[in-house]
Amino acid sequence: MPLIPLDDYLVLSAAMFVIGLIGFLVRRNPLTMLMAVELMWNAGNLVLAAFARNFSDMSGQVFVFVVITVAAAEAAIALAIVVMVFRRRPDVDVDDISVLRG
Amino acid sequence: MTQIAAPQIDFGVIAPLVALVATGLLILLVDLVSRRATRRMLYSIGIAGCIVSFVRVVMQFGHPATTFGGAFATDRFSWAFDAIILVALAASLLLSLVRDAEDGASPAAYSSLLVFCAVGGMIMAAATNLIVIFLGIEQLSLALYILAGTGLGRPASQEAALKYVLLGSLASGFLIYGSALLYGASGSVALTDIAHAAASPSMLFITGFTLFIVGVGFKLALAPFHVWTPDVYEGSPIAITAFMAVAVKAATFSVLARFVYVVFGHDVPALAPLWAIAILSMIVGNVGAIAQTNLKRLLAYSSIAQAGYVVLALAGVTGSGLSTMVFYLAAYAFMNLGAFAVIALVGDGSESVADIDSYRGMFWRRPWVAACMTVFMFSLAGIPATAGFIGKVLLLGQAIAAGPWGIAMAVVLVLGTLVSFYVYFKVVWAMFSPLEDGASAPAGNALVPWIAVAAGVAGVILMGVLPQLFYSFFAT
Repeated sequence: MPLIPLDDYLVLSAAMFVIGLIGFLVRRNPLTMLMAVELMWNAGNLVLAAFARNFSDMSGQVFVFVVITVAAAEAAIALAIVVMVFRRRPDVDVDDISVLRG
Repeated sequence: MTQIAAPQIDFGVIAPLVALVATGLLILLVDLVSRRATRRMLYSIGIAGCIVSFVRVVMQFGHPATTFGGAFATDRFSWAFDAIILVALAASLLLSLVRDAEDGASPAAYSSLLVFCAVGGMIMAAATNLIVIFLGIEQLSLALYILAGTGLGRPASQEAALKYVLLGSLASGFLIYGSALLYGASGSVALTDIAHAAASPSMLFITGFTLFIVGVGFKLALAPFHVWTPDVYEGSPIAITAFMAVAVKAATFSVLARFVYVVFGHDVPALAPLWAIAILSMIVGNVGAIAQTNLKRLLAYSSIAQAGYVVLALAGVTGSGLSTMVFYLAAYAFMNLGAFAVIALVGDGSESVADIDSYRGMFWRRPWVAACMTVFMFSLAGIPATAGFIGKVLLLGQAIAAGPWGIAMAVVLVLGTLVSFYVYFKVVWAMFSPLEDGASAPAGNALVPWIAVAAGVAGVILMGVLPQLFYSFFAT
């Protein structure tokens, strides 16, 4: 079985992180922005899992489980907030949300 | 058959947290079983839980301990931050009592979420391991995302919740990736093991640390990661804004300080990004505050600048830095909770009375309100005989002794303070300017916020006049 070197995981995860960040900054739909953020979280998970395998250490894997659990809770809350905000709106776009001056 | 050892958990160490979690659950339970549970009753349970938890923290004094395999450590440092967080929680629950329509559909959910937020903050204050740090931060943030949006009637509150959850998750993304790289560089999630990797930092370590600082900077509202702050502070219900400004900042600073002290232990070049964002925050916070006409936005910019000031306590990474940081954060807690309590007092349930214009002539109508607000503004500006002044003197002393970056930060702190005089005196000036004919007086004279206001004034003056009392208590 071919072995995948650690560096490949790191390069892939860095790409995921950067794509997620760009997606967050470029997209104006809060749902897409949340998906982009999830990609960034999972980039972190990939690094943790890869290093945990590399070190044969459990704590990295435990960290991954914690992150996955928190991500589920976070997605539930974020989606609830998106639904609350856009319930009375025809379109989902953060540029329309501008009562505050930000 | 393999035996798995049960983890050793010392419940005495986590007693303050257990008390708070029990309080949150009790609130939910009482609301569930009792039809006659009033808002006042639910919030009173919350405040009682706060007091119990505070007593448990005080009982730990002098007995530092660790549990969960060293991942959770209580010491002088965590006690000080626990105290600040619990004071903020109590004040926030008190302020919530005045707001009739602002706790969303359910006062029980609202107050228990606030209590769980504080639990997250206290986990952060005691966390000595990247996983526990992350868990604490998320426990605090997830509950706050919901609380920011509890002003159901107001679009501004919903907007605040959306902005907070989007940028908060982005910050967590940086935090996770940074933590993952730090784990990769050191082979462990414990801060004491990461310290070994910090001795000869690899590229992986530097990148991880920088991303970690970006994540923490977002949560602390340090410039250039502060863009969400004014909107979220303005849109959130006033009691939640007060909690965000004080407890979230204190808890996140406890993480940052523990990280810097345990991992580095002395001043290193890798900390340069931290000093740079501190300088930027002081500039952005003070300059941004000049143009504000809304008190909540003004205090938001003020909190950005104050977060920059607090970083000065870490300059040089010396032993006295921690006591300086705790002193300044305690002073900051008193003056901010006080100022937000005044806004709640004047607003009385309505969120619209944060315009500085509506405070015009306040002194001639309600002299006590104006006098208390003046104390808080003077303390934020750093006028002698207030807590803010002593805090700034301590910070300056810390920074000047810490080499070129420290001196640069000290200079920016002095310049920023000069600029901020204008900002805070604008508010005081408005309150003492003569009454205009026909101007309507802001309503509201609830008794409850007065407790928070009075405690704030007492704290600010006491810390300003007898600082050695507090300083010797916190000295590590």
